[in-house]
Amino acid sequence: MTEIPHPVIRNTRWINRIYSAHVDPWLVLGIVLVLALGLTVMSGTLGHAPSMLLRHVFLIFVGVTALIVMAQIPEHTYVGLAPFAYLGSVALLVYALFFGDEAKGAMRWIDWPLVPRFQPSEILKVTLPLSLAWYLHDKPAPLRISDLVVCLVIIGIPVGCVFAQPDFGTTVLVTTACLCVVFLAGLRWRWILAAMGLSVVGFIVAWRVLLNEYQIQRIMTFLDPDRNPLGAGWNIIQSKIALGSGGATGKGLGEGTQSQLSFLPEGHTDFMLAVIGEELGFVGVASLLTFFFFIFARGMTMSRNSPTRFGRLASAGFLMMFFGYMLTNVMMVSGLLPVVGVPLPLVSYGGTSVITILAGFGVVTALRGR
Amino acid sequence: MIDSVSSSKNNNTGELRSFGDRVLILVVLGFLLLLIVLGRLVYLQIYNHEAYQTQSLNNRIQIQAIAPPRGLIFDTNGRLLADNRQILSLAFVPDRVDDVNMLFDRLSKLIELNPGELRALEELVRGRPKHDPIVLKRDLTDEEQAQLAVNRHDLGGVVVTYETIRHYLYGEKFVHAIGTVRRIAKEDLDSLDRVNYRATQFIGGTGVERFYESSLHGSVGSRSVEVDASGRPTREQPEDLTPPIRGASLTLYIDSALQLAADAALGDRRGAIVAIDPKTGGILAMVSKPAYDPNRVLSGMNVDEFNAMYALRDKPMFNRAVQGTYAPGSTFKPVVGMAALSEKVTTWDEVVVDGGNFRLPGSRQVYRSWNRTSTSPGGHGRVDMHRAIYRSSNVYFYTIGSQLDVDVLGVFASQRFGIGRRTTYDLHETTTGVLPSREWKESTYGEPWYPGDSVILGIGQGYLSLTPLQLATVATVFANRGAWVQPRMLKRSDRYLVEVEEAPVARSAMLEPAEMAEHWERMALAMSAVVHRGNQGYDQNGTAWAYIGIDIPYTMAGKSGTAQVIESTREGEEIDDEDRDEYERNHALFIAFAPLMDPEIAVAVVIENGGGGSKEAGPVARAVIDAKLHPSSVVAQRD
Repeated sequence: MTEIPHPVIRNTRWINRIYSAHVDPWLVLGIVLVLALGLTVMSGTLGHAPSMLLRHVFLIFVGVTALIVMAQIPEHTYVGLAPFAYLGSVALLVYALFFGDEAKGAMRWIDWPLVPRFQPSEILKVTLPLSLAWYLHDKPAPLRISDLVVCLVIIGIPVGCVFAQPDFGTTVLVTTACLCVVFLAGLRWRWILAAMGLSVVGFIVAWRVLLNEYQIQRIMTFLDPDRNPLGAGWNIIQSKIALGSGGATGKGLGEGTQSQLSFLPEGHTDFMLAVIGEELGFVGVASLLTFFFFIFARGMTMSRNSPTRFGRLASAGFLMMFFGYMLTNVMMVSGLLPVVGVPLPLVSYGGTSVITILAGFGVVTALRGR
Repeated sequence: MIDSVSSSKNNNTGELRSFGDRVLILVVLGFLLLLIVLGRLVYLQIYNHEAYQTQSLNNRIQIQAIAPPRGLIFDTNGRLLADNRQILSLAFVPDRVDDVNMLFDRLSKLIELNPGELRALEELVRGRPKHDPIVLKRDLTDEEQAQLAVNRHDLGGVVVTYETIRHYLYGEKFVHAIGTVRRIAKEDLDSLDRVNYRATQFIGGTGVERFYESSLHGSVGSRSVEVDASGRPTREQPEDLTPPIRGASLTLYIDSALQLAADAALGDRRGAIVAIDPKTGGILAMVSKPAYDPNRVLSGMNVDEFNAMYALRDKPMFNRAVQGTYAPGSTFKPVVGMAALSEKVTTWDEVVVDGGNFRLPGSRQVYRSWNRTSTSPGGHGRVDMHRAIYRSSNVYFYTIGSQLDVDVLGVFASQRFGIGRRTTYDLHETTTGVLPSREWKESTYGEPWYPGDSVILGIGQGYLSLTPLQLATVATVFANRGAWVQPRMLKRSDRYLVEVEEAPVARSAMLEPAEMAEHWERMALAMSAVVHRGNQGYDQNGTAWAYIGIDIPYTMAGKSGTAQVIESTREGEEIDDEDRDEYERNHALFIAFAPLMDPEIAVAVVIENGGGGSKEAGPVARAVIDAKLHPSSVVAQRD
């Protein structure tokens, strides 16, 4: 893992400033590979709707710009902004809960003029790790019980809003990633074991009390997709057919009948992986997963190498979010998890996800130290 | 951040190591989960590839049935009578429409829709799959199509579809001659071959369309189409096309010129005409009035209109020619005469004195002559068989009827003329009518056969009833001098027909005593006197001469009949036919064949409540025969 040599000469021409841009070439390589693969397949899927494709390309462009800009911001600025980012995120979530747009039975979206429609829970992927890191950066490891409680409150407020939308998938994912941050911050192992025991109990309670009809429906459908082949199970059945019929090398770009003939719903959004699997086969999906793991591993290395505890925790938290989303989506599409409506990071079409993810990588880059 | 680094400098290394270890744990955990995913992908994409490949193909390749074009129907000269045409229909897909009432409002502003449909519509929507289009209006005009196309954006869920429907070139003029198809109903599904009728919407409902349904229908075709998730075809797979086999085309004996002439001759009167070629038994014309336009029923008629038509007193959907039964009246006299001659109950020379009245011995019941007036009992004086036919003497046939055993007459009428039987080769709808017998009366009324029943049976009244088709068969048998031939519709077809199990019964030469041939010939002569005996003075001419015989350019044999619709209520009290309610007037009947030697056509005419047979039905019969024997003169007259 090498880095671009730090420019010695400052205050020279603007071109040298570009060279001095604070980016990690390995991380960028991984991101570019994933984006390229995703865009290639999507251009076939959205061939009938060039305007949608263009919009996606534009959002990627905005995201890459965000990555570069975020990467240039010094760490202390993030430390200073973290509490405000947290408060802002919570405010948006509450706003969405009361004034947001409803889609598929959930209050998730905010539609403001001049800004693309977005889900405030997206922003949490970046702001919540920053906030946790901000709180934990001066707390010694192993954590005291009081610190842990504060952390759980910090996590609980925004996640509670997400759960109320309701967005079960995001709730689980964000919580898990945040718990990983707490874990990395130095949680005693016996507490971890105790928490695991508690979560088993919690699972039972959630199943019986907290989950509403549609969430249970999704889980039940997952357990037995053939139960209602034209209802919610349809997605899983069709995505398995898409993946399976793709075989080792796939049907060829743009030749995926499952997606081109719209048997596969949301083929360009949540189920994009199934399209890749159908058209490029196992080779395509395995490559994509390799690229993802490369990004994750490189990001975690950068996190470990970060000179500060804030930087380590914040960037690791974001990477856990990223990897968690990726893993959940992939497991969902391949039928290992229930359909929870989680996009495939950097690949799925839709809204602002690609911008937040790329911006998050900008933060990771900024926090790795100079 | 500087302070965080400096303040915890002492345990920084430990914290760092711990952090590094824990990062490693997470990365390894992530890697393991990813391995599980990869394993799953190997399972789906490599291990189970073939199974999913098949499912994927099943998903997108759908076999669609193609309805075969229905066989065409031609008349005897090869003129097209029934073909198929494409119409555009307006339909909507229930699951793509939020508010059916609102859509209906919008549509009715654009095109004419029947409000009565809306009620039936809700019924329809309830009982069917939501993605099946429901037809709102059939056979859109160009203007309506344009209106719909312009307003397409407002009409979500509305589709315009092509339908192939039957088309009858002569509409209501031929509806009872060739029959019609009808839409397949739910009840049909059990009896139909589901595969062959998968794409078919119509089956034969009546007439030839019904009898030859299997052959006219043809064989279903199929094509595999790539479909998208909503079942919409995206492209065809040309290599997988099995074209449907068009149904057999039928050529009928129906002669459209004759049919049109018969239709015109009957005019607006209720009644029926059947014309048969005596040589082949082929039905040359079959008119039943009032009729209806089958094309309207197939393309545009809604439920209310249909029910209204169905309930009409005049029953336009009822095929009088094969289903209507009428007392034959005096047209039955030649049959009685032949039975009496055959059974040697009488001879040509035996004379009955017809004083206008007939009484059975020991009975006070008086049976009267048709030509009685308020001042005279009528009658025709001394009558033998020949005169009894051309004058239509009631008293003569009362006498014969009373002497002829009903069951003997019945066997003769049934065997030689097909009376009381279904004899047509290829029509399902025909009814038998009633040929009374002792057994029949016992089982129907629980009463014995009285001598009086035989008396009125002698003049074709009472329980006896025949369809116009049976009457035409009677005329045919007289034309053939006793040889019966099975009436039939089909002349030939372009291929083997499953319905034709055995050839129709050809003209049958009966084994009978030699003198019978003479009886048949003399009966034919007597019947020709009905038309041709004229200028003999009052009460001496054939009954039909004055109406049709004066200027006739060929020889024609006939027999008129005037059948009572209601019996006289009291003895001696007669109501003049003109004063009765229209529906209580006598039926006018006429049977005829021509030319007398080597006949080419036999006809039966029934005009419901038409009045006198010779006066009303006679000219109609002649007009039909004119069209057959002298088509040019008919055209000249019409011009």
